[in-house]
Amino acid sequence: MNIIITKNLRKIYRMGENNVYALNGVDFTVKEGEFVAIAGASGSGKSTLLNLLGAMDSPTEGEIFVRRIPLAQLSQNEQTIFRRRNIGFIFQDFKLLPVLNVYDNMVLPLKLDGRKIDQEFAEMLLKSLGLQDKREQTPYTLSGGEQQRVAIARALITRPAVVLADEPTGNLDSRTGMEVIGLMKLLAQKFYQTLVVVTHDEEVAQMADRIVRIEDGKICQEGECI
Amino acid sequence: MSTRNNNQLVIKELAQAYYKDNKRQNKVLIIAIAMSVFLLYSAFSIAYGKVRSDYLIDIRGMGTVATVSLENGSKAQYEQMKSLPYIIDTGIKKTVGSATFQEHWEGKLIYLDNSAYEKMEMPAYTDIIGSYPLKADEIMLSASSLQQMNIDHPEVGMEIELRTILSEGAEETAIFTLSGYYTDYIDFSVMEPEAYVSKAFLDQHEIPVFPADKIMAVTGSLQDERGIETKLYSDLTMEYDAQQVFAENPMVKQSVEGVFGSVSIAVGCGIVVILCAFMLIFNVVSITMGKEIRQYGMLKVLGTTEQQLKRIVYYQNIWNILKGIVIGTIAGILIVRLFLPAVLEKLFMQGLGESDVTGFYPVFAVGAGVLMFVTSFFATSLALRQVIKWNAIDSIRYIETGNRTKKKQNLTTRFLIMEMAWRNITRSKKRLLISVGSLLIGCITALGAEVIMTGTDITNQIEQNPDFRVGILTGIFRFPEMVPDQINDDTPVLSAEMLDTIYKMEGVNQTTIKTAKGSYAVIDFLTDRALQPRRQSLDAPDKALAFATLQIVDESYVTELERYVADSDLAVDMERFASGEGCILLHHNELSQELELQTEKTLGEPITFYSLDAYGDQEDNAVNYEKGSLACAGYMDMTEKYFPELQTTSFGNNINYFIMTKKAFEKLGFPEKTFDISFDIKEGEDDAVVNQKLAQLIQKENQKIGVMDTFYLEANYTLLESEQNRIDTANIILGGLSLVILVIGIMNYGNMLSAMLSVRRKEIAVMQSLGLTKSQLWRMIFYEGIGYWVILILATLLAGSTVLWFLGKAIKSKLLYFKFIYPWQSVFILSVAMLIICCIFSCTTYLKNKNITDDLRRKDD
Amino acid sequence: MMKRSIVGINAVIVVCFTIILVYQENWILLFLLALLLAGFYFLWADRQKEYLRELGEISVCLDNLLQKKEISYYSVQNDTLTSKIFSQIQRVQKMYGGITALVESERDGIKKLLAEIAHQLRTPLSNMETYLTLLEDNRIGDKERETYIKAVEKSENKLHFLIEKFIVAARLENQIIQIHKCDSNLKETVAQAVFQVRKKAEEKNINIIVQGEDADKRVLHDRNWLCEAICNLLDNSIKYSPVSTDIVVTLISNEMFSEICIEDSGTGIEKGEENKIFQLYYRGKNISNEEGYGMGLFITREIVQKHDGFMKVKRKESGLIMSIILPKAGT
Repeated sequence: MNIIITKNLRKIYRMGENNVYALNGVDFTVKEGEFVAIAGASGSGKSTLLNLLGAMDSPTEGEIFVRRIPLAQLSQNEQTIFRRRNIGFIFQDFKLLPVLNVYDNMVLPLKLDGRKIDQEFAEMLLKSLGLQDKREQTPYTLSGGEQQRVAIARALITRPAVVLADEPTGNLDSRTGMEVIGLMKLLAQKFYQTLVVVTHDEEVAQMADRIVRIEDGKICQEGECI
Repeated sequence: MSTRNNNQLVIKELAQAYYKDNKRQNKVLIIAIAMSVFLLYSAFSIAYGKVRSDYLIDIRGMGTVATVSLENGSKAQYEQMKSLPYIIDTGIKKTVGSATFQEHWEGKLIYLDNSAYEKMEMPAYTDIIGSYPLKADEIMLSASSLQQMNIDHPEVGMEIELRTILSEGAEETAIFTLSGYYTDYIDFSVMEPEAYVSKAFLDQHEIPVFPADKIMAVTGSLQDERGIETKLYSDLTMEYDAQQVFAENPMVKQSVEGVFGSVSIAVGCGIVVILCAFMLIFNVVSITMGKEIRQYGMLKVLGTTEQQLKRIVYYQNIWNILKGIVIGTIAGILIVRLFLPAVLEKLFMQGLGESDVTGFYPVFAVGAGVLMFVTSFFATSLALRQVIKWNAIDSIRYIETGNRTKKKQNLTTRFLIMEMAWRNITRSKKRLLISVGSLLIGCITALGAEVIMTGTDITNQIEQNPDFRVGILTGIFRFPEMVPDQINDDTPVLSAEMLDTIYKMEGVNQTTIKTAKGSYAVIDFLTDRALQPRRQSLDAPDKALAFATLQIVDESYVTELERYVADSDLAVDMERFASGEGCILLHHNELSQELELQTEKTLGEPITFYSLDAYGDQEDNAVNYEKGSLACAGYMDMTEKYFPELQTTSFGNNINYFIMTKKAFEKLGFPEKTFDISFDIKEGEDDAVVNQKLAQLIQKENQKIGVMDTFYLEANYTLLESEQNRIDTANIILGGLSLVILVIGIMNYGNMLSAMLSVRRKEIAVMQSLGLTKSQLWRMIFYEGIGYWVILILATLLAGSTVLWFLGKAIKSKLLYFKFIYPWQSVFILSVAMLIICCIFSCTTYLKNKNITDDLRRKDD
Repeated sequence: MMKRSIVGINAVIVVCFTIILVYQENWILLFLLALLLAGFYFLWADRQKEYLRELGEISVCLDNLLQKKEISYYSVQNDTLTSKIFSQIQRVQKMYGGITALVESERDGIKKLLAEIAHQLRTPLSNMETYLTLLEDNRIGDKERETYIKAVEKSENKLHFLIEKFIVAARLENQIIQIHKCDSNLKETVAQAVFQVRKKAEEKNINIIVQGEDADKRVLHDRNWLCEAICNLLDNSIKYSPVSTDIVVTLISNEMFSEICIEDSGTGIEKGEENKIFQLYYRGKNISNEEGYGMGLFITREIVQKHDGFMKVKRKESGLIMSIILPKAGT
């Protein structure tokens, strides 16, 4: 089943007198359980696409269906709850809450939905990402790489149906990056999750089931840009 | 209603985390709320206290709570009154006789029944020690009576020997035991002192209770006297024709200013405080949210609904609000409890003893708390509303509205720095409004307080008054039946002996003695045309003969009058008046417009004055008693604004008052009577001592004449003292209020500045890297401070002056003696103070920001 | 217990109130009290109905799950408990549905494999037939005899190989032999695999170097099956490497995984083939003349997946790096 379908997606920004087409007619589908890598140069619109898929922004034109729900029909609040229950988002610049420590940051999405924290799973994530000694620390005291790993743990702890990751390995060295992607892949297989990862790292892209390229707001597959 | 999701715990946790992160904002909020609650509670308490004080002043001054009384009431009437539905309590006052103590004290022996004592007299007394007499030999006296008897340390059970003369005439000397004593506040120079005896005493001397000299009653509503009197007349069967019903307690204070005066003051204060608090809370919450808005966006992305975010913010603030309210309430209760009675005594009681307020009003405390809670809630939700609706992505990307102009070309242009400073100030109109606004409210409140204080300060006026004044209360008009048998042309008002005693009294500064002299006369309304307008203005215009008061005015007054007449272009013949041929009739705004026109025709017409003997003559042969006539020089309204002040003897309507020169008076040939006398005391003399002597003198005189015209004594120093007290206390309170509001305003301003700081750090870092030197940074910040100051001062002058002007008008309509003095001095001082404060804040801002780029480089954002 | 006592106390209070009001003949208040109670009762009853309804809906949803009916998506996303439960049930369905689908597709794959193998068996069998017939002819010379015998040997080997695979596939399909994971040392498994292919390696003078033995390599795995998987990889490396080269086997281990990295300097693969090589019967473009059926990597991947791991391919200038990544215990 296609878990994500976009039809003719456009996102247009006005910069003074000009229109900037961040996305210019994107038709994009992802199968359930698939691991898709989205590659492209910066400014090509990859992050915009991800934001739209995560119901964080609304498209100027076009439709998005996630799990066959048209996102446009959801109210703001419904979108928020939809996100909470179905999407795990990893940002390029982590966005941790400075008032909480590592552990609390990680389990926050679970608490927001009143779900029980699987302690074993949480421990496993912390250990796998090398954070078990840092669970009491606040984001201020962590390095960029450590913060990114916390963000990754946070996205994975709810075992969401869809994981959207924007350059999740940006701040990690290649070894750690590979391990992280490996972990994500493992979990995705086990819990039947769909991964959509935006990356410019070829090695990361290679680990995906399918690589999709974006250039100037359009999807290119197998050399053709539609 | 579906089941709520079980995700409530996280809200609390997040709120607590954020709460801990915002220590400074929390403190500011708590202090502001506490202060506001405290102020509100104090304002309400003081207003309530004032209402209570007014009531107490009324009853203590009159010596009773009773509103109405029936003279010589019989038992049947007593029962009747008790059963009337609008009568709450009925009591009996019986005059048994009189008593003397050596030469020092003379008073009436009174019996009060239980109801009269407990319900009507006792509430008007304070410091009651002991109890009402039970045994035949027991007696109860007031502390002032005891003082007069030179008993300085009275004790219950002590023996006092009194000579008693009962109403039947029996004289005896008896030893009484003091069963109790109390402090009262009646003017004992006007009312005779009373000594209370027991029922047993009555029985012993076989004196029946009825007819009672007074059956007193307390009525249900605050009806005016006329209304009550009329009702009683119709509801009771009068025993004899002349039986009278009197209104005992006109509740002057209450009806004049009423409950509403105090309530409106409290409400006014309350509104100002709430406004201030609202602005501060709104600002603080907005600032906190501004800092956290990116995080809210993140929370939204993670799946926090608007509802949850709102609850996080509310939860955060609830703590502060509650803490603030609790602290404010406790502080308020403590301080009000401690100081309210003293404050009320000084401000309102006018020397009539202490106020009996408890100083603890849980209702007000709860009310103040609830009000502040609602205000805080409102302010929070308003601040929330601005932010919460944002899209998740927009929130994340939110940066404090940066400078819209991008290019900072040449950082060396001199005016550029000023421009930048100006742009920074006006960057957020809303923020500017709020911070300047709250400071503005503080300044205006301070200035308003100053205006009120200086305007109502009549100490100067009072000081100009003479130290003492002795005069008569009413005039001949109250005792027509005594004319001409007991009162005739020769009867003096102030007796020669009295005047002599005063003249010779130790301490009196003889050079300052002023007297009002004149005479009484009879006039005939029927014969003199000039008197027609007057006649028609009277309430009962069918009389022919009436009394007139004639007063002599001196040369200087004549000159003043001439100037006044000329300025106001009145129809008054000043020439005739000044030459001694004419007299002027004074009235208190008693003529209608039409009648006033008629007065112009009276100029020159003769007015004839008759001797007082004419009044008693049944045959209407008034002509035989004519003393002389003067030409009518016109009618004048004494209540007009610029009418030169004249010390008259009797006040009020329906009194025929004539002024004339000495020459004119001598023409008529009446013997001169002295109506009143005023004087100062010598330097270094003690007012109280002289007061005591004068009071005794007055008392004796009052007793001599019996029921006729009572003398009064006006001691300026008591007036001055109470007025000074009032001013001082009011100063403290208003000053305190303004100070607190100013402090709130300053806190708001300071908080806003330092919050803006953290947001602008990045900006300043960028500018520094573009080439902004430290001295330029300092100048920019300094100019910003100055800019705020300029805006504040301009706003104060403009808005403040307008508010002050309106304030002045409003007060003037209530208090005629109010003088509006523009508080230039205060404006100046305030400006300087504000300038200093702005500079201090600028300095702190600069010092914190000097080394931003280094700091930022170290910190990982 | 607490609840009952509270109900009791409330009832007593209400009764007292009623008695007092009746005694005072305060009918208005009594009437209002009655209204109030009625109101409360109504609200309570309504609440109960609401709860019942919601629970009923959840029960229906679960029924659908049991009956494997597709659960229609409830597009209403509320912050309510019911909504959350629906969401979770949906997820459950998807997860198990997905896993079932996966299992089914795996099974299909295996079935196909079996069909293929059966098909493939025919060729060597018929070859053997042919050559044996030829051998029966007495007229052939010694040299020819040797050639024919060699050919029969070759076919026999092929048969052997195919049947081995057949057995493996059959076992996999019937799940007769589960993967029994044991916490044992990966080093030894690797050593076993290396030992198994040493002969072929020696023939081409290829050196197999095993590195990374220092750290503890205890991993939960089935020794036999994993050995099989590693063997396949080593086989490929040996097959496609030139003589006298090295094959480096590196054992890496960290918090999350253990990795067995096999690096060779062989012909490698073309760009873009990384995913394709695991497909059944796919033979890379660089195989030149080597024999193979394109099944080894498929089976290897199956085995690795059964270990909850995955495989990675990285191309080199000349050669290939194949990795098996296995999760550490607890993942």
